[in-house]
Amino acid sequence: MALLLTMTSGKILNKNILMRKIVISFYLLFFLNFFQVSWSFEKLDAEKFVIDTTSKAKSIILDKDKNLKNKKELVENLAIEVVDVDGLGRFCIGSNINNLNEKQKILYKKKFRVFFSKNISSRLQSYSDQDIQIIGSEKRSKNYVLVKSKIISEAEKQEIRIDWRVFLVGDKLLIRDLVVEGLSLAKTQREEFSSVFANKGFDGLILLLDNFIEKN
Amino acid sequence: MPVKKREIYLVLILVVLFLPLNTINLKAETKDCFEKLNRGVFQLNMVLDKALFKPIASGYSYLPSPVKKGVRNVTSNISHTVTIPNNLLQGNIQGALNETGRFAINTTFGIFGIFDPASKLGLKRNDPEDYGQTLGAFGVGPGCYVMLPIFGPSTIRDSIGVVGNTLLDPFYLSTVGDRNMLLDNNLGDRTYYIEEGFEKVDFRARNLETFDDLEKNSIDLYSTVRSLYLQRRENLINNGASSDDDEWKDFK
Repeated sequence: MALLLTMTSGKILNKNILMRKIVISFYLLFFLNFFQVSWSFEKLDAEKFVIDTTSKAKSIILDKDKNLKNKKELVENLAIEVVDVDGLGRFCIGSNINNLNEKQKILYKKKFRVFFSKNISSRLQSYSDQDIQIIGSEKRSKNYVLVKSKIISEAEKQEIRIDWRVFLVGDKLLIRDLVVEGLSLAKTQREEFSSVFANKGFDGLILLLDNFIEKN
Repeated sequence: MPVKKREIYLVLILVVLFLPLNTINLKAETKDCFEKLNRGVFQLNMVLDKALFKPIASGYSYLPSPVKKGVRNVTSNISHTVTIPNNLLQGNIQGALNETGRFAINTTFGIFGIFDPASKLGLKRNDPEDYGQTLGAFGVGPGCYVMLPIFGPSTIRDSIGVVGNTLLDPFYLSTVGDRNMLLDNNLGDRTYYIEEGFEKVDFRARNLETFDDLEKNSIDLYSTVRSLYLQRRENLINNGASSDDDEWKDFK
């Protein structure tokens, strides 16, 4: 009887321990998951992401062992990795997307990706010796942090304010816009596309994107 | 009626006439009411730029840096005569004091603004203020977007501002106008036009690469210039405060 009691209580004890373990594991999983998600949303991580991105870009551009073609390719790859290109594409086409059929949407998405990477790499030569300094950041919504920075050019002895719109998209931090001295690159691109769309329609927009891609 | 009084009345009448422009919805998108005409003027400006302004600016850019810096300092110092009253009109007393201090120090110790000792004394150079921005700060909306021949992009409000920037500017009044300011002397028309010319050439020279880059990377340069101009003006009116990003907050 004593043995049975011991065994039963042992089983109960084991069951309790097992339950406790499950509960603790569940809580741990929940909190870890929660922490991971909320951790990704924090301002400091968005700031670190911006610093990492700019230092990666700088190391590619200043690498003397690589020729311009290699640099362009690497910068294009980096841009595709750190920018939400599809999201930016949707922002740039704006409400005109409602006028497109599925085939046109796929075509636009494809063309925009190439246009974007060519646009980024064609600006490579304008880079010289700039360093970035983070001034601060603001959490604007649950998945969006605005990182404020200034780019300091030693050669030209000037500072340029740049704000980075960093979003948590899925489980990745991605850039959707740069605001240079108050001028939003995404907004400028959207207004340009919108004007082309209004004057030349979707086909006109695709034609101009093709011309740009061909030239660069 | 003396000329200067008549000019001031003209500005005031224009301001009163155009005050109702877009005053209700300042966030409303600026309309390009005359797009066809504006695009035509833009083409003309581009031709003029390629034939005249860009070559002059390119030549100017070869001048030694200290010379270009001196020119920039002088023209920037003269612009205080517009910036100071507009800081006051916008209620920015600290800004007005800063700019007055800069103007006094740089005009005297900086030898008519050639040097900038004020910055070394901690009086930092701020963004310029003008009558267009003051109208914006008063709540006057931009009205339609316009492309002016030679002067470039503007809005109805900013065009009225330009009239104020000229006719209410003490430097204009003591050069082209008939006022005697410096040691009871009028500086003469030529001084004004030379200063304006240098300011424009210096601006174009500083932006040679930027304009080339824009031209190369735009699929519709006209609308890119329009967007950049309107954003820049909005940013100046808000004194660099972060732009409105409500649309980003909800963007999926």
